[in-house]
Amino acid sequence: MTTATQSDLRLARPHPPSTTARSYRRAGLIVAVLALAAMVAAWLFTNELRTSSDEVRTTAGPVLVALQDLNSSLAESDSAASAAFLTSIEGEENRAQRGSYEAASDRGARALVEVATLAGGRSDEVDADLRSINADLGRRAGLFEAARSTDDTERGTKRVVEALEITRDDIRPRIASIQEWAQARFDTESKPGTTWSLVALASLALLAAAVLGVFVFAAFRSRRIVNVPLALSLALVIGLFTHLIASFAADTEALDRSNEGGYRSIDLLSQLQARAYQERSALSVGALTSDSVELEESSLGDIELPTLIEAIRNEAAMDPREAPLMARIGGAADSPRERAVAVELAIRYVRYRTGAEDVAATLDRGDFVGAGQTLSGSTAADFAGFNATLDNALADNRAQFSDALDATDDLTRFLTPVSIAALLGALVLAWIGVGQRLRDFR
Amino acid sequence: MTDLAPTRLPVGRRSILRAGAVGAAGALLAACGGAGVRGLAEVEAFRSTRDLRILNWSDYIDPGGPDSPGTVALAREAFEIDIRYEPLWEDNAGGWAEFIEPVFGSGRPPTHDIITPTFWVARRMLERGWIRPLPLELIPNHANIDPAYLTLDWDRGAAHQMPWQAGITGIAYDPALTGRPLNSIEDLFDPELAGRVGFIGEMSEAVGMMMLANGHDPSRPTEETTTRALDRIEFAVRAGQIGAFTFNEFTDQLADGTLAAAMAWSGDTVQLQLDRPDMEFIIPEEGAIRWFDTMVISDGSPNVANAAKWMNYVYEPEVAARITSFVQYISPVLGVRDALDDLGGESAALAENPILFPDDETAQRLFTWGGDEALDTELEARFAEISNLQ
Repeated sequence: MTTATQSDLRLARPHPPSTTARSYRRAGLIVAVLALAAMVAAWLFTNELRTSSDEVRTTAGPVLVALQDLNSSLAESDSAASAAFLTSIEGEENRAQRGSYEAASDRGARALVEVATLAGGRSDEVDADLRSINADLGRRAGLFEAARSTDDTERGTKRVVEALEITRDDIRPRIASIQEWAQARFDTESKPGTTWSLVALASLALLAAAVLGVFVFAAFRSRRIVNVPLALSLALVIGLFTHLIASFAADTEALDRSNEGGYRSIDLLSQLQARAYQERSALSVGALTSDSVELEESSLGDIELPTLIEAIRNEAAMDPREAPLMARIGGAADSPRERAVAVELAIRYVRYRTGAEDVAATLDRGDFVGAGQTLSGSTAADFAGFNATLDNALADNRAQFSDALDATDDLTRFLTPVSIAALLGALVLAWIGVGQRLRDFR
Repeated sequence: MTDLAPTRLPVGRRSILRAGAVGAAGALLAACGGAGVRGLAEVEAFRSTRDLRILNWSDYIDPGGPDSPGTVALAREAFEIDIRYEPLWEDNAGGWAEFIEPVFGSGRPPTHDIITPTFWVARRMLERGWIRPLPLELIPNHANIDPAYLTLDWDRGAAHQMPWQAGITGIAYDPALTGRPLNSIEDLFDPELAGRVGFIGEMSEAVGMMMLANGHDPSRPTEETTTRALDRIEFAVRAGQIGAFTFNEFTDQLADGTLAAAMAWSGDTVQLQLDRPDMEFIIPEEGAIRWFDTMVISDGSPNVANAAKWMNYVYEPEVAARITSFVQYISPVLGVRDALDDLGGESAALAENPILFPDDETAQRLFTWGGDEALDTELEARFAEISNLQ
């Protein structure tokens, strides 16, 4: 009989337990590496999402709104300054119009400061545009004041016309240029790149697969059916995976909502407002310079008011490419309240437009004094009513725009720390789970 | 001046305002704070209910008769709801103390769904969050609001209130006593009229008129411009130019000759002209003050949909014309003039009344007081001191 030595016994002992332990160690190492990789990817992804949302929420979005405010305040101050000058020729300067001019100028100055604060230093072109606008605003205000202080009507008229030209030829193109820059930022940042999102989700999927593998391996190799720490680790990774997808989708949806629901309406309303102001300024200049004025086509196009009201109330589909501006505004209204405001806006626009057409016809007949009187009388009141309703609609949509952007802040604020904490937690739990199995072999 | 023969009002809308009321309101308002209830109440507010509680000034709506139901009765019938219309708002300070501050400040449910205070009270309620935004989707006739009421800086576009009736504070005078026509606020400082000039007891209107005289805009008062106005009033009081600070009693004092000229409310003057057609009412060349009472929906009202029905109803030009023909104040509803014409008779004559329907040129010279609560409280204190000097 052969007697085996101690050393032989050791050599002859089968190795499965140590192989299993090695497998556990190897699996633990793989999970750790994957978890660290997932952490890096998640950090890069969530950071990119947060940065993009922040850029839209704190810069591109507010800059667009402030630029529109600047545009509309310029149009309002142009219109009020020319109307006030018109009344001063006929007698005493209309204080309400003068007040409107001052209030709109103040609002414009505040809007410019807002744009400069938000967008200044981001691009040389934008900085140059801002400097020019600032200088032109000063020049324009000087001309309005000079017109106001002179007793020479002809000279005053010339200065008012020159001031209006500064707005049209110098300031507006620069505002448009900054708008283009901000819109590009908005479009880019509201669609964050998918690379890091895919890398992060892929690494999370790999990590989940690895943890699941270890979990299943452990379940087969042990009498314990469930290794609780590993199960929790797996749940954390899957939970984070789902949360990141949901946050990404919700953030994209909020940005889309801000763009489609809020900004689109703001843009359309601003177009209507600027068009109306320019129209009114043109009529004032016509009355001042004794010229006829050809009005642009009505913002209702060929649509009759009752038809438009019916369409807005019934949410009838309108082809956005072909529909006139007022119909597009009605089509963009996405709640009963917005539709009601759109209807009122259309009614007040038609009242104002009817007056404006009367003034244009009066100018055409050569009755410049009569045109001036109508312009600063009932047409001014109808215009004020239309404009106040429009401002109300704009305020509603700006609030909607801001709310949607603020929602992105809530969605992304804690995304990075939550991701890192969840992955650390998953790693620690996996390590504990593997450790438990290793202890079983000692 | 007007050449029509309006129906007599039993009591003027402002007949119950008394001196000191505004000062008291300032103190009361300053002590208030807080906001109403939201959340589920928001959903509940739009539930279909059968109730509506309205609080308004007295004699401020057509009461109707046995054969011709008034506006409230007609609305009851039209909407099949129970409308409790209570003309219990006697003055702004009293109304605030009874219906506003103890209710909204404590979070209790409001006593009325619609309240109709003067605009500056509505503004203060809005600033405290005690009125809710109008459900515009239920009020298509919101488009009938006169544009003059849409440009208020505290409620641009009238998203929180709908004006009920408006009036003008101008100058009423007896030509036999002044000996000449008056055209300007400056005419009130004519030494010939010393001691026989009445100033209105409402701070915002008296100071506003003086600001106009000084070439300032009362819709944008500042500390500097209001101080100048008050200095001038104080000087006039000390110099004995101003004989009295009055509310509606200016009509009696003009009628009995105590006053030769006074800052005056348009509606009360129309009433005075029934007995004294020789009395004149002018909107001075510098301008005049326009005020208005306005409907607001209480925060926490459970009957918002019915409140909207009422607001929409009284903004039908025909309904508004019926109300105007009784109360004879300026209607804020577009289309009332044509509707009055359609009614014929005395109502049609009202359509030609320049006090009720100021022309474009006159309308441009009407200004609404634009002071905020902090400024108003300061001004009211000094105004009270000045009026007590007299």
